[in-house]
Amino acid sequence: MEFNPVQELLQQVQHGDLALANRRLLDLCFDTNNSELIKKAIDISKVLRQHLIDGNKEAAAHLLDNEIKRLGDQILDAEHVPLNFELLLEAKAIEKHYAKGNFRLQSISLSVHRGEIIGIVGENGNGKTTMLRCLAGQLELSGGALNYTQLPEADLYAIRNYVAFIPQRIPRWYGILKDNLHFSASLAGLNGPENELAVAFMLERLGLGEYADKTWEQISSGYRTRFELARVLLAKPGLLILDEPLANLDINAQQTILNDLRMMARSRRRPMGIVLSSQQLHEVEHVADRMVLIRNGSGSISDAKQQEETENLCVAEIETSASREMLIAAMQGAEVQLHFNGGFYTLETKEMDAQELVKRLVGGNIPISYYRDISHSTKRFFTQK
Amino acid sequence: MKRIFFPAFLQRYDRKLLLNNPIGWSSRLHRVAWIICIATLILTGYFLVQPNDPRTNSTVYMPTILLSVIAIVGFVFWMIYLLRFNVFKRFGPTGPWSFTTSFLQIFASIGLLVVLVFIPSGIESYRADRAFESDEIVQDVNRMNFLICGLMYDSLRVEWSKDTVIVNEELVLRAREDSSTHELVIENTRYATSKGIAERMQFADSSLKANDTMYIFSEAPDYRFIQPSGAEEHSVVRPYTTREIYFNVHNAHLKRNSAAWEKEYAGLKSKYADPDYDARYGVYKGIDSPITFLDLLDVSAVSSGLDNITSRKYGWYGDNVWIFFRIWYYLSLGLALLVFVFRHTTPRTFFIGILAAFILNVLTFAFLNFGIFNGDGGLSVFITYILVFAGISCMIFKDQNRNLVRGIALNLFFVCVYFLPLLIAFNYFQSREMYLEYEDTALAAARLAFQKMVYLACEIGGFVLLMTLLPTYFYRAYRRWYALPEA
Repeated sequence: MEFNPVQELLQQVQHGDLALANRRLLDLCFDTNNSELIKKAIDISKVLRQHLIDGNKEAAAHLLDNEIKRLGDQILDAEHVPLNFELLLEAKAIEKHYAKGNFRLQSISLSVHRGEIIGIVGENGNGKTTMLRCLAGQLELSGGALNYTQLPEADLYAIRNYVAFIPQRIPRWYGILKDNLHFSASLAGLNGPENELAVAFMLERLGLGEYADKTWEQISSGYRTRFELARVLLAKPGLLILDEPLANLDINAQQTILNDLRMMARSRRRPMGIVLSSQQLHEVEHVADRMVLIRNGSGSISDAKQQEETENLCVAEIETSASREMLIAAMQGAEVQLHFNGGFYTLETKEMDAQELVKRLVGGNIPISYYRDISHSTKRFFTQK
Repeated sequence: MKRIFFPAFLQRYDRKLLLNNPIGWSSRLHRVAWIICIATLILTGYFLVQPNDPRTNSTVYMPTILLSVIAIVGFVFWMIYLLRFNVFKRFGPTGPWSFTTSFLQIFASIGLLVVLVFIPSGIESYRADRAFESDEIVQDVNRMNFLICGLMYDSLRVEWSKDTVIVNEELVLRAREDSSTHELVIENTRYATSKGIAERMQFADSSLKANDTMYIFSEAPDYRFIQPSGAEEHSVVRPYTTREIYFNVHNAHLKRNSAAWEKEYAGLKSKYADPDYDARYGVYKGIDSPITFLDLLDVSAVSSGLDNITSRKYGWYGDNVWIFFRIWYYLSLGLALLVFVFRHTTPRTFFIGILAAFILNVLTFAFLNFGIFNGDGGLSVFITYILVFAGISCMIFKDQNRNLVRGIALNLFFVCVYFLPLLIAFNYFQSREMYLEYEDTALAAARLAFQKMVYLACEIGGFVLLMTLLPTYFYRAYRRWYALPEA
């Protein structure tokens, strides 16, 4: 059964997902491009935040429910705007090697469209940051070409303005955080009331309202990432590149920011292409349209759907106190490859599916404290030798 | 955030700038202007009311040093704030004129900070100017010289010196070494041309034509015990000549009233005498050095006081204003150029550029001392450097990655381009000097005036050149260089 966005919001409120519903409401109002509606959504968000701070969840839910019903069809206006999936960046066989050192990023081709998230995964030192910096135009390519398709005549400065890059180590901000946001918005050409509105929206949207008047030293590294994200988003980039954005976040914050990125990429008013690198494979896989695995400088692109069609390998990782012999016995003679990385066992087989694998493990009385089917996950590549 | 030093209107203006004009807001010019206004008011008030006797030696150097330190601290603080919000490095959609605006705002901010240093001397000069009029000084000096001569009439040397000059045109013209000589002494006899005689008659205290070719010139002893110390240049009152003093005193001598004169002199002395003079120098007289009437009348203290008054009063007159202006201008301009470069380049490129410029200068001056570059005035080598920097910086437009050498060349070209017209003019005049060394004085003075005018034109031209290149060349070059990918 498909819901329209208003019904979806009401469902979320009904199930107590107030923060999610609030963010979604802000996004929907933003997509309408109606400044009055956006102001209204910001005001609702502020009151809601106060209710939640006061621990009055019931009042918060009531408020949200009422306001969503009241706004009703107005927030559906943006739904008529078609989703934009135009090509933003085409990287053709890009290569990079440094004058000093042996590292080489080998030929990788990639395209990024609006509304799309590309996750780049790989172990440390394999070239994720190098690749991202190449895509952002920060590093000169040793081979191949980059084509920013929406900027046919642009100079390098315009490209650097168009492609926002958030490094893993975010440079320190000085002064009041909110001033920095106003400054960035002003630089992006948002003046006067428009500037005020854009910053207020971004603060509420990313849950930064409480911290707006603080300084860099007064916020955690997770919030620093969020503020940096707010800053670059105010500059209205076409392509957003993030290097390890989840590195400093707890698991809840990771989920929130990934969901936010997902929603922002698919914004009807200002859709973006997003490329992000991370070690948090499972989390990224949930939101990414495509994954690029980089190993020793060479990349392979996985499209989850394509792989589902072409591969019938069952891969699972388990955590157990059972010995290797017990596991082999539980498999009842089936051809299963077993890898142990010190914490988890990875089981690979073509002779059974995931359900059968679980059945045999349970039948063999294997005590399991953790199980995950990674048959369609990029993570399986990490286990292969 | 509450900023207690900034009033509500300034905070409103600050917010308006933040929301509408990021370049203006980040330059912090409005805050610097406010702080300098307040500081100027406080300092002006303080220096206007603080006890400060214009007759004493100037003590302005102490507050000037203190304010220089404060200005440097202020500059550092401003720099810290300035570099927090760097418009350029945020890749915002800025236009060509943003460079001009940004530079002028940096220049104005630094200029305002530098102005602080000049407040003490400016106020000191103002106070001396208000306390003593130029006409008043010259009149009082004339009167004091008269009174000194009158009071000490009996002790004065009254014999006039005499000089006999014989007109002998042919002898002088034949024997003289250059065209400006109109007199010669041969075996204790003085000969002169008719032009020399005319000049003497113009300035002599007394002259007598003994016969057709012999003149006797007399000169009164010097009775100008106190000099107006330059006040005469700014006054319509003419200081007395020694001859005028002599005749005035001589005529008044018979009906003198010593008591009244003494009282009047005491009044003028207390008006002008440096009160610290004795404490500073004392009047030590040994056995062989008797105390003179000048000592008794404290003439040295009065002269010292007058020197102090006039040096304060005319400290900000005429050419001195230009000197102060140039100190302010070049200090502000130099710092503004460096700050601007620092904001538009990477720290590494900036500091290596400074080092490169230092080494280049040391080597060039070393070679200049050996005469290696001593062609047309020697400075042509610096002009060549600037042109080479310009040439190298042009290559940025062809580069595929951000090149350190090109960045340094661009920075050096930016810093030096203002000085290009001045260097060309200076080099030209320097090379011409060797041929014009023996010109006569009138021509030399005219040439000096012409040089001054040309230098002023070059200073203005240099600024215009910089302002022209900022939006047209430097904007494009810096923009491209900074956006180029790293190798």
